[in-house]
Amino acid sequence: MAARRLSWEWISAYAYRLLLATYPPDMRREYGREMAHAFKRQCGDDLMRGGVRGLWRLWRSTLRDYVVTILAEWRDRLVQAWRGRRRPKRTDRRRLDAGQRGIEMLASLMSDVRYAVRQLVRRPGFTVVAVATLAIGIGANTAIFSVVNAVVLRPLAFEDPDRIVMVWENNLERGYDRFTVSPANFVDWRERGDAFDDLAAYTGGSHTLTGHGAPTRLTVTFVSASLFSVLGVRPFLGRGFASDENDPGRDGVVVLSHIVWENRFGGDPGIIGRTILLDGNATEVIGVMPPDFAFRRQTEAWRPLSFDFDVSESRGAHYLRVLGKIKESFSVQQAEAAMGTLAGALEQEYPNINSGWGAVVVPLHEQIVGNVRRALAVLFGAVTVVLLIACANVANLLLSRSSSRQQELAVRAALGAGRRRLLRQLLTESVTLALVGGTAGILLAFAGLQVLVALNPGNLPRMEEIGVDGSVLLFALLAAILTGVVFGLVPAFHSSRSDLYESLKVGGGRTSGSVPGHRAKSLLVVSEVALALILVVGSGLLIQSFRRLQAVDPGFNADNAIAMQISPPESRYPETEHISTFYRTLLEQLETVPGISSVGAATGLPMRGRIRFSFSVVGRPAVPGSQQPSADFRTVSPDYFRTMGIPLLRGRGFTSGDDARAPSVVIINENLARQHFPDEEPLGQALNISTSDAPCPCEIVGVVADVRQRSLEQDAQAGYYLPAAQAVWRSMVVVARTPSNPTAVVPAMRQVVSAIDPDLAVYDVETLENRLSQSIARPRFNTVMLGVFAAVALLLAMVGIYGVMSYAVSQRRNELGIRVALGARTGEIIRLVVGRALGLTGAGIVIGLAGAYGTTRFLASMLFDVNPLDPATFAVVTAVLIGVAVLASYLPARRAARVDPVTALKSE
Amino acid sequence: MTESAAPSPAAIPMTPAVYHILLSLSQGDRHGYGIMQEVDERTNGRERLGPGTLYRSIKRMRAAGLITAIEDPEAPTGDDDRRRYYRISDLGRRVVAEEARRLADLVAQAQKAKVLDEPGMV
Repeated sequence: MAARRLSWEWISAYAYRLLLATYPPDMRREYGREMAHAFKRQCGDDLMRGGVRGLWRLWRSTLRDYVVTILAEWRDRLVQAWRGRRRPKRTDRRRLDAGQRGIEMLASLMSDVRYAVRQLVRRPGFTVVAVATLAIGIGANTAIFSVVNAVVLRPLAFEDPDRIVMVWENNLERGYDRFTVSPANFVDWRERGDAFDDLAAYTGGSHTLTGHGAPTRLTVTFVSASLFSVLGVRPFLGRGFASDENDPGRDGVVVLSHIVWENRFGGDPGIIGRTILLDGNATEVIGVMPPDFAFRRQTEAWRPLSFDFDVSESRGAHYLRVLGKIKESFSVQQAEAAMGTLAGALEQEYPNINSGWGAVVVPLHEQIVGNVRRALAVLFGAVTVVLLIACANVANLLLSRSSSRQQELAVRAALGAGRRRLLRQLLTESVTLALVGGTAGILLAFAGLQVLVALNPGNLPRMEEIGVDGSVLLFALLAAILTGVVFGLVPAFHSSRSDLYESLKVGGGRTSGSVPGHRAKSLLVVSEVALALILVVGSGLLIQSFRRLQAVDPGFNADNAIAMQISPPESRYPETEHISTFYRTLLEQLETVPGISSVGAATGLPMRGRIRFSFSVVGRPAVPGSQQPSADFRTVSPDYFRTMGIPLLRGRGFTSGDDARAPSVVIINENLARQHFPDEEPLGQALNISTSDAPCPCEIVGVVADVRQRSLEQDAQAGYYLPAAQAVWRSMVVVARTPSNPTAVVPAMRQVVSAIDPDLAVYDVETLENRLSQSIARPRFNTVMLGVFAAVALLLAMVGIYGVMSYAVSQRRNELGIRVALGARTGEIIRLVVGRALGLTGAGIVIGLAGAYGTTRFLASMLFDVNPLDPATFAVVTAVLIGVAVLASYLPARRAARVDPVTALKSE
Repeated sequence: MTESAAPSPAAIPMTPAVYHILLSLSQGDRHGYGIMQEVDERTNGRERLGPGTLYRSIKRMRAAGLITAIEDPEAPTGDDDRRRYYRISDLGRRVVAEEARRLADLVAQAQKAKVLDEPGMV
């Protein structure tokens, strides 16, 4: 801690000394040290008082102070200089004091800027094209940077975020690299783990809130009392949980989220101590979380996690997530090693159930942003490429213009401007241009961010933190200045170097020989094409991948079906019979609703998590608990398969006769049949399933087709279904199929529910189509974003080729005129020009293909079922670029073919 | 400017920064950071001088003869710990008193016009 504060202080002091360097030299000499010292002391004080936040506030006020005073100081110097008005002769230079030299430089910079602005205003066409190009490049970069900044760079808003980690179990034999933790293991970790200040477990759930308007479902997170202290967050009102509130029977307390407190309870400050009804149980409100609390943002209420069973019996049930705060003296690696040792000890103690289970420690930041980092890096790479292409285009424009400015520069040089002076002026012009483009780019980024958020990148973490802030603006500023230098440097060198005498003699007119900057322009086009090709190949691969993803058969029919979740509370439905009766009545009544053709229910629908239980085949040799196979588990109503459109392959489906009194039955999926009954008839065999809800053994009565349960990307895995009347679950998803628009039946369905029980909340109402499309939101986002950037790159490259070719044509008018005069036909001239463009494009394509070959493997993890070196994509993109080159050079070629030999030769 | 001269009219009215610096130095000699601290404490953090404002004011006040700088003979000559104390001049004292009177007069007028809710609260 001390070390970190020290380093913050050091960095701040250093940064401030850099700022000090921009004060007028006399001020700097006289007071610089004292100012630096005073600021450093302030840093120390504010860090002590307010931590990093305090330091941030200090910086904000200091920057304001800096801007105001530096402007005033320099203005004073300018006023003095103006009053003095004595322009020193060159020979006096040495004797001028540094302050005076600074003023001179500033004055000449100002005059350069004024001159640059005049130049830009004088050629509005050029300026608009250049500014628009730069705005696109810088704007795209700024927009993506603000996402990267919010999601990846900014530290999490918890106390000591670097020490907060997630601790998972893992089981490499089974291919689980981060798996939820069993209560028994968690309790042992907490008691025996010595690498942590504290550990906290949590798990998700929900409650129905009644007595405050319509019954509402609240998303609840059940937590160890230590969770808030691990995160270092205090409630906004009231208190957090006391440790004894994790005991069963004492857990009738709740901490509300800020949003629920505001929306449901009108922000009533007297809420603390009041009792509300959750699932019909009186629960005391003890706290309200702060509005910006960003851990499990979807949580609407926090409840204590309590185990109303013998914890030591629960070693095999993995469902807890565990958060920990590493001790200051431990690193993440050391903590992981310590946890590994502890997990090893637990393996020895409970070989039956714990063998193969280890522990893995993942920093919370890594956990939250880990799987988007790659995608964001790719997007950031893409916008950088776009910016580079934009730079190349503007450099091209400047080169074209600089040849028409040769004369002006030559005159200035003749009047005594040195090369460095000219170079500085040209660079000032390009940086000014870039700053104007950058300003437009920031506006574009503002707009672009709105679009980006509306595009919904598919539960991108920390989405709500995205915005344009100081660091984003700073980034845009730096990007603009750097851009100005990059695209200005080549043309500036060219212009300042060219032959004074030649320029004056030719008078800035057209020459038929080699043109200054011609090779540079060709080089720029080649690199533009190469960069665009890399980007378009990447985008092409993502599009291919996304199309294949969309074409994947999920195993069910998502058209015209709607799902809603219901959870009858224990207080009013204590026994399984009550629940069974409720669902039977509900499904029967829903079937009679006009517009519903069939209705079913299940413990969960595809594309939204899954539950797995281990099982064994009756009659086969027993295997130890930890090596038992497991499969996706669902209990379903008789009409579920028909409603979802999941085909029955063999045997029979469930009927209303498969109830609690009938023999236990199970339906397996194709995958389970293939894995466990490769050469046998599964029908008639029986499974033992390791959940207390399942009366076993269950006879296999049918085989249904596979369904992708987790996501479209992941193949279906082994799974089985139990009849809902035999394995009763409280919370079910009801799904209804309709002949047309499924949302039309929602009001009628809600009415049926509230007629049966007015206090039941209906929640998570969603069409299956939407659920399916949500599940591919992130790949869609990546595809759309990269597609847009690739299109922009392609457009810019096209503009670049067009610009260079039309310039070349205008430069070669004489030569073309002679050719026409000598009898060259239109087709030949067109071929000449287009051929030249194709030559440049060809070189670009070759370099680009090599570049794409090297870079597309970074996309591999984002691709579904597409090889990063997919030859079809490479071929198509090459063809597209050739097409673009032909298109872009055709217009200049036509113009060339129409050159009137008489006019062309007259100008010679 | 001689000691008997009337307070420089150019110095009045003065910026809040100059006023606070003069008030601070009227209690005794301080170095720059000491002034910042004292102003911060006296105003309960309502008035915080940034280094730029502080030293720009000090520069102008020295030029106007309101304060003088004294090198600390005991300070080590190390880079960071260089300290220079500032001392208010007699002119400075008169100017700040004059400014305070001017401000008090302004407040009195406001009270007379009853624009302050409670006349006692100044």
